[in-house]
Amino acid sequence: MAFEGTGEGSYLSAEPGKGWLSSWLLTTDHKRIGVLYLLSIMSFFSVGVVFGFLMRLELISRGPTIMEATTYNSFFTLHGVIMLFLFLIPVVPSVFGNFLLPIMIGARDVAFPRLNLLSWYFYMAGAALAITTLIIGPADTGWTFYAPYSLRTPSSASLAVFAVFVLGFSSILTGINFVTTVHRLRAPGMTWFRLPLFVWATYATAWIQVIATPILGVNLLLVMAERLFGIGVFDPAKGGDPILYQHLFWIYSHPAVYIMVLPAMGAISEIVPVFARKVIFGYKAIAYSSIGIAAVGSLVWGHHMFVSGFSYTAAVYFSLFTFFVAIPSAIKVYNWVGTMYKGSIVMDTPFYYALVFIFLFSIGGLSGLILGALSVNVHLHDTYFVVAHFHYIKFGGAAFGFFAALHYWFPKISGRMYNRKVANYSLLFLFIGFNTLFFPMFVLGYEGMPRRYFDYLPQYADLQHLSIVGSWILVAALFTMIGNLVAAAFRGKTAPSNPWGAMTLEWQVASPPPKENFGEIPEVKRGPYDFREGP
Amino acid sequence: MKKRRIQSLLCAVFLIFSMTQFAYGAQAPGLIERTGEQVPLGAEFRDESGKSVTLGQLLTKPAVLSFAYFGCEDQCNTVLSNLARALGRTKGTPGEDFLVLTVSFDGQDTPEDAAYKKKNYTLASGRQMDEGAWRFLTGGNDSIEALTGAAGFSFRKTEKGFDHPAALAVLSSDGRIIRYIYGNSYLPADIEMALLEASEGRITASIKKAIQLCFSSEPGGRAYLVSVLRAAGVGTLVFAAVFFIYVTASNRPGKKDPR
Repeated sequence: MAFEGTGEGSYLSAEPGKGWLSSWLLTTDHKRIGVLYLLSIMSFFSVGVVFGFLMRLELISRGPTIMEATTYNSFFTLHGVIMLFLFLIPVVPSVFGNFLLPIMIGARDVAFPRLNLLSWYFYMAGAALAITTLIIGPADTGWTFYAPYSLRTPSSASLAVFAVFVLGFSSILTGINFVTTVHRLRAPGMTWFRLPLFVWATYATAWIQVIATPILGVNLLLVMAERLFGIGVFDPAKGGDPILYQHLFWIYSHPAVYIMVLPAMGAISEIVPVFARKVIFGYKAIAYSSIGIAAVGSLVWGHHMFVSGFSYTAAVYFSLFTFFVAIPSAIKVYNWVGTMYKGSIVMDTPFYYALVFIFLFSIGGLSGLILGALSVNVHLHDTYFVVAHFHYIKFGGAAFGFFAALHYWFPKISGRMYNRKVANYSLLFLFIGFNTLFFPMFVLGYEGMPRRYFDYLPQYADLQHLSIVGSWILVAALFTMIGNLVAAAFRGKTAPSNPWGAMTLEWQVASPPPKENFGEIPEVKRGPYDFREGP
Repeated sequence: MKKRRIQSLLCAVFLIFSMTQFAYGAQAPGLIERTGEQVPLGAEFRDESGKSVTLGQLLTKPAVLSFAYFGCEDQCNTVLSNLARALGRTKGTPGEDFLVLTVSFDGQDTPEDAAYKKKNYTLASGRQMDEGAWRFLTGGNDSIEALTGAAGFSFRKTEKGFDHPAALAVLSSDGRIIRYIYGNSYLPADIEMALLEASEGRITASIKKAIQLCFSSEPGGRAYLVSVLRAAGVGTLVFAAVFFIYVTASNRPGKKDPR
């Protein structure tokens, strides 16, 4: 089953009649757009890391150390906005979804290639606006832009809100593109249950993007209308309701967590069977659980609002639904472990990354259950416990899933192999650094340390210091990991078309893939994890 | 033609952004931070027994200042009971290490109302407190306006009561505002941290969270909004459904090379 050798050269080779720059900036090739996303998203990620690192460093001693309290407040808004809207939400769908989804289903491109390029430009425009707010005076509202504060603050909240609005458009366009592509462009024989699980996860995510993002858009438009014309939707002074803002905000922003995590889970579902050399355990259960997470995840937004003056009955139901989300998530974790059971496991770099993802994500998920319980939430609300929980989910889950995917598909994207030893050691130190940084926060939160402070009481000093040391290890490890990949992209050994022995279509074409993906559209005759005949 | 349209669109966007700062006046109930400024030490209030006292006489230690009106049926009670619960768990002892002042901004409230609230909330804290630890003060409109104005709190009288923000201010023993604690629920560490800063006289920026406001809500009066949202929601779902039908119906995928 080899579809390589179309004779057209790889997608990375120069396009005749086009300059180098325009061949990238005006490309409609889904693979090049994926790479554009990868480079831009990684740059913003580095900026977000710097903000996070400096915030931690500020806490090395009590009182102002390297910055004032107002600067710290701006930093955490920027850290949040950059990491969520510029890194976590777009990273896996936009980079790997774009690059791989068409190849995995046996198509030559996504359904709307120009729309795809437009979505990248929307993304860059939104990012540019967000960075502009940084220069003209950062918003101090936190990433939630809660009304009525966001309606009144003289800071540049309008621009920040508009930036997020534009980014939302990018997300919607990507979602529409993926849904259409999966429905309309599957190769002959690529039935729904022969789709790789990464495609299922990206597909479920795309639906969330299409349905939930407009709500955020409407909400932010209302905030802008309120700031500009004072129409009084959210402002109680004008008969509005600030709680309504919170509802609309979390109706999008909770499912957004699944936009971050689901595609990462999809990537893990690809990696685990390949390195266990075994058909994935419970294919349909994993596929349906993606849809299940998308559906149930849309009904739990109220748990962000338990202390906002909420009816008790509503709170009980939201708490209950929050417990329900754990079910499809747990199905995935059990099925990954079930796949490894009695598999012929090949220990290699992407697999290590996947294991770390499963471990950290489980801690994040279980601590989420603690917060989901109404009774405990009241005590832990707004403490470091919450900070630890969402970093385990978002960093330990979504970002480590992205790192796993990056190490798995890097040979395909770049056509080169990275140094696996360096990658493995970076992972070890990432793991140590991550846990040293964030685990103490669970304890600090339990002991009552409130979040968002640029200062702390003397009794919290030891754990704060431990956490700061963790941030140093983490940043050093991140630097090594990214450096290793960058070095490999330029000087790495040439990668074979299928270095991991996987069965899905993207590994059956050359590395890097040819311009049109396939010389001839393949006919699919077996499932994505059928290792019986070998690749 | 097209170019001109784009130009006028850009102008409109620019104009809208430049107008942003003027749409909001200060008359709305809310909170404007006045950290570092002094509260009027000479303002006179009545304590729970009806005796006249000035703020200067009371402020012998750092203090947590909260505003409420005693006829409030909603947020003030949440604020006070959450404050009571946090006070029950703080390391320092109220009365010895710091004071708590709850000042009514309703000129109609009486010392009897204050005494009643005091009994309830000191009991709710689950902690033995001295007589002077948590003071519930009432006063005339002049003193109220002087104090709330200095602290940056603004409230508005409505048919049912008051629209007002939910937040605490922390004062140093010389009456300067050290920082604000936003919201209606507080961690003991929130209060300890602010009091530590107050005792060191260190003025810091508050953590700007959502300013929660207490207001009487009349959902019926906002029916237009609810229906706008409903229409937008139905619109989104209809779009999603039509889109789903479009991508699934006709032209089965995989039959031919689509490009």
